[in-house]
Amino acid sequence: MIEHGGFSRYYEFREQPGRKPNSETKDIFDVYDKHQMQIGWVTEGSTMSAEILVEGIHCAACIWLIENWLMQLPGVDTAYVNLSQSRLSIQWSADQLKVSDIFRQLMKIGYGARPFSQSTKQAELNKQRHTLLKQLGIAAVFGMQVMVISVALYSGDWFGIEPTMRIFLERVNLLLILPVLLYSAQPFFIGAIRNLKSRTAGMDLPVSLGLTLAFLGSLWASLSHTGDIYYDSIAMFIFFLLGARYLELNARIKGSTAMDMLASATPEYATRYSTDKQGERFVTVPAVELNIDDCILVKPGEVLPADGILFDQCSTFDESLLSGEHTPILRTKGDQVLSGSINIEQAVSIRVNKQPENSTLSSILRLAQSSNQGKPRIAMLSEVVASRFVVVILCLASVVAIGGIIVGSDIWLTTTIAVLVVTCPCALSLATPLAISASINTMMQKGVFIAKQHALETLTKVDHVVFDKTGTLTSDTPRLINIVPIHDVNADECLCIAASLEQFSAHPIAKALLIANKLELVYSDSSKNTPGLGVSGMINQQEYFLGSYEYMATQLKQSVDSSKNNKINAIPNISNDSVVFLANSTVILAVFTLKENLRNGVKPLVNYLREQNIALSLYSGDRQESVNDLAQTLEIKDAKGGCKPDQKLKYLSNHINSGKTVAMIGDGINDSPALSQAHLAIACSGNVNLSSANADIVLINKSIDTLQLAHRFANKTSRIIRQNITWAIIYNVCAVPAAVMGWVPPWLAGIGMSLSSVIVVINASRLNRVDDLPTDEV
Amino acid sequence: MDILFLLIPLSIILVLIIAGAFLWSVKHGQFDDLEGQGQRILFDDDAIDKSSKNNENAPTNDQENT
Repeated sequence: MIEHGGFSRYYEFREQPGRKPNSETKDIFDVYDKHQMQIGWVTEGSTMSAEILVEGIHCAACIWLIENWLMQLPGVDTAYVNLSQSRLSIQWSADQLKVSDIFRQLMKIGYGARPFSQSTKQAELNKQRHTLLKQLGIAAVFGMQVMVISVALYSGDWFGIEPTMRIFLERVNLLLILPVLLYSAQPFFIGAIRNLKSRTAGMDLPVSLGLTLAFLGSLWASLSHTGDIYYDSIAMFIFFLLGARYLELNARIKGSTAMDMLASATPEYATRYSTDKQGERFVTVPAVELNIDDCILVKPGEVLPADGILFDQCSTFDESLLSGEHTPILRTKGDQVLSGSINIEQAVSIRVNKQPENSTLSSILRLAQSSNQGKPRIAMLSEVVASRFVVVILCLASVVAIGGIIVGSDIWLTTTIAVLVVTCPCALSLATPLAISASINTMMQKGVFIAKQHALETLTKVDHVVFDKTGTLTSDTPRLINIVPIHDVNADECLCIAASLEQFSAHPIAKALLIANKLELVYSDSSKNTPGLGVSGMINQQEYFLGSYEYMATQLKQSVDSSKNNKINAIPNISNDSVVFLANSTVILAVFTLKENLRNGVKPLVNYLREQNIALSLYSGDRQESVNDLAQTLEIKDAKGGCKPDQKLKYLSNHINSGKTVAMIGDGINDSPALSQAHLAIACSGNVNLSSANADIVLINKSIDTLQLAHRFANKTSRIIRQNITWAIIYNVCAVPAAVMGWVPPWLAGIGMSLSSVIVVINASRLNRVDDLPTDEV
Repeated sequence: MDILFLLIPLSIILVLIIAGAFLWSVKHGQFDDLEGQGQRILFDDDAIDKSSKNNENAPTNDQENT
C-alpha cells in the first residue's frame, strides 16, 4: 500500500510533524520575536516593555495569577494588568527573556494573548473618555462651589442680606461658572454647531440655547441688579448631562474592546510556501513579512492576510467585511482576492500582489465600523422622535418668548429658559442607547457577545429557533472511537491518510481525525472539498476520498453496494454516531466511527425555549439516523438530516416566508449561508474567525445555555427601554405645559430635567446587575 | 461677616487646587482602571505569601528557562 518512504517527497505542512493544537500555537508565538511584528506595542532597549491584550480575564483573581506568575520569571521587572481593558503592561530585561516566552507563559496558565494594538476607533474613544472625564470633574468641583454660594444667595432672599455681600457672592458665582460653561459645556456647544451645520435637530441645540440664554440672562441680572440669576441651574444641568454622557461613553468603550478581542480581522500570521535549504515547505510567518509574489496557503474558515491572485483552486469567499455583502462570492483561478475576506470552501493558494500594510488598515477600519451597524429599530425610532421633539420645543420656546414680549410680561425670559431647560428628550435619545450598551456589557460578562445591536431587539421577537447539530448541540470535536479497516490495510495508515486529507480543513471531523492520528502527516495534493459531503485529494499519486456514505456513492466508480461487505454491515449503528468512509478510487478502505457528546446546557436551553412557545428545528448535514436520534433525545419534532447548505437555506426560507422570526444557531462553514439568511444569526464560538464576521450574537461560553440568559436579558432590556420611554412621555406632557404657563422657575426646571435624566439613567443601569439572572459556569 | 470676603476667595483657591489635582490624576491614569484596584486589595496577603514562595522557587525556574 502506501510506503512510508513515499511520504518524503511530499511537502510537510509544518516544521514539526505530529500536529497538536498546542505545539502549533507555540510555533506561532515565535513570530512575535521578529522586529517587524513588534512595531507599535513593544518598546525596545536594555529594558523591554510591551503592551499585551490578554484574553480570558474575568476577575481580580486572574490579575493576581497573571501578575504573580509573570513576576516570578527571570528578568521580569514589572507586570501590571489593567482589568477594564484586559491589558498587560510588562517590563523585562531584554537579555533574559524573549517576547514569545511571555506569550508561551500566558498560554501555559490558560490565557490567550495578542499584541495590544488599539484600532483607531478605540484610541479615539479612549481619548474622548479622558476629555469627558476632565470636563465632568471640573463641572463637579466648580458646580459644587456654585451651589454652595447659591444656597447662601437663596437664604439671603429669605432672611435678608447686605447688598454688598449679595453683589460679592453673585460676582464669585459668575467667576466660578465660567470654567464650567467655557470648558465643561464644550460638548454641547460643539454638538449644537454641528447640528446647525448639518441642519439636523439634535438634543444639543436646545441645551446650548438654554445654557446661553440662562447665562446671558443671569449676567444681565447680576450687572443690572434686577431679575434672577440661574448659575446654579446651569452648573447642575451641565453636570448631570455630562454624567449621563460619560456613562454612555464608558459602555461604548467596553463594547468596542470586546469587539477588538473577538474579531481579529486580519490575521497576524500567514502560511507561506517557501523554498530554501531545508527543501520546499510551508512556514508560518508574520503577515507583515509577506512580499509581493509570495505564495500563501489559506485554509477554509481563515481570513486572507493579504490581497492576491488565486492560482490553483477555486473557492468561495465571504467579502462582507469589505463590501457588506454576505453572500459568498465564487472566485476562480486568476481572480483577485482581497485581504480581510474569508475563505469559505477549501484550502487555496494565493500569490500575493499587494503589500499587506496597504490593505489591512482599511479592513480593520471597516470592522470597527461594522460593530456599530444595525441599530435597533427602537433606538432609531427614539432618535427620530427626539429630533422632532427638539424642533417642537424650539418653536414653542420662540412662541413663548415673542408672546411674552408682545404681552409685555416681565417674566418672558424666565419662562423661555424654563421651557428650554425643562423639556427632556434625554429619556428618548440618551437612555435607549444607554440601556442597550449596558445590557450588551452585562451579557458579555456572561459569555454572550452581541455583535450587532439589533440582535437584542430581534431576540425578543424570535418564535422559531433552528439548530445545527455538529458543534452546536454536540461538542465541537467528536471523538474517534473505532476504525474498521475493510480491505487488507493497516488501520493506523488509513487514519493517517484520512487525517492528511483533512489537514487543511476546519471541520470538526477533521479535527477529531487529526487529534487521533499518531503518524506523520503527508501532503495531500489538489484536495477538493464538497461542503456537507466530503473531501478528496491525491496522496502518493493515488486519489483518495473521505466522506459520508452518500459521497462514496457519487465518487466511487464501483457501486458502493458491491463493495459493501460483512465488515461494513457489522458496524453497529450506535446511537449518536457519525460514520465516515475512506476510499481510494475503487474500493472503500476503512470506516471511522466518531462519537459525539451533547454540549453543556443543551437540555435546559431546549426546555426553556419550549416553555417560551418557541418552535424548534434541527437541520444538519449529518446522517438522518444520528440526527433523528438526537432529535428524539431532545424531543424536537422537526429534524432533518443530510442537509446540504442550500437545503438548510431552503428550509429556513420556508419558515421565514411563513412569517416567523427565525434564529439560526450554528457553527462552522456549512451554516454560513443559512446564518446570513436568518433574522438572527447566533454562532457558537470555536470557529470564531468565520462566525463572528457573520453572526449577530456569538456565544463565547462553552455552555450553549447562555442563550437562555441572553433571551431573558433581551426581554428585560426591552422592558426597561419601554419604561424609560413611558416615563419620558409622562414627564414631558406634565412639565412642558406648566413651563409654558410660566409656573416653573428655571431652577426647578433644571432640577426636573436633571432628575428625569438621572431616573432613566439609573433605570438603564439596572441592566448592569445580573444578580437575578441564572449564573453559569465559565 | 466680613471674614467671608477673605474665606470665599480662599475657598476658590482651594477649588482651583482640587481641580488641578483632579486633572493631574486623570492625566496620570488614575482613572484608567476603576474595577481592578478595588478587587486587587483582596489579594494582597496571598501575593506576599506567593512572592516569598517564589523566591524559594526562583532558582528552579531559572534552570527551567535557561
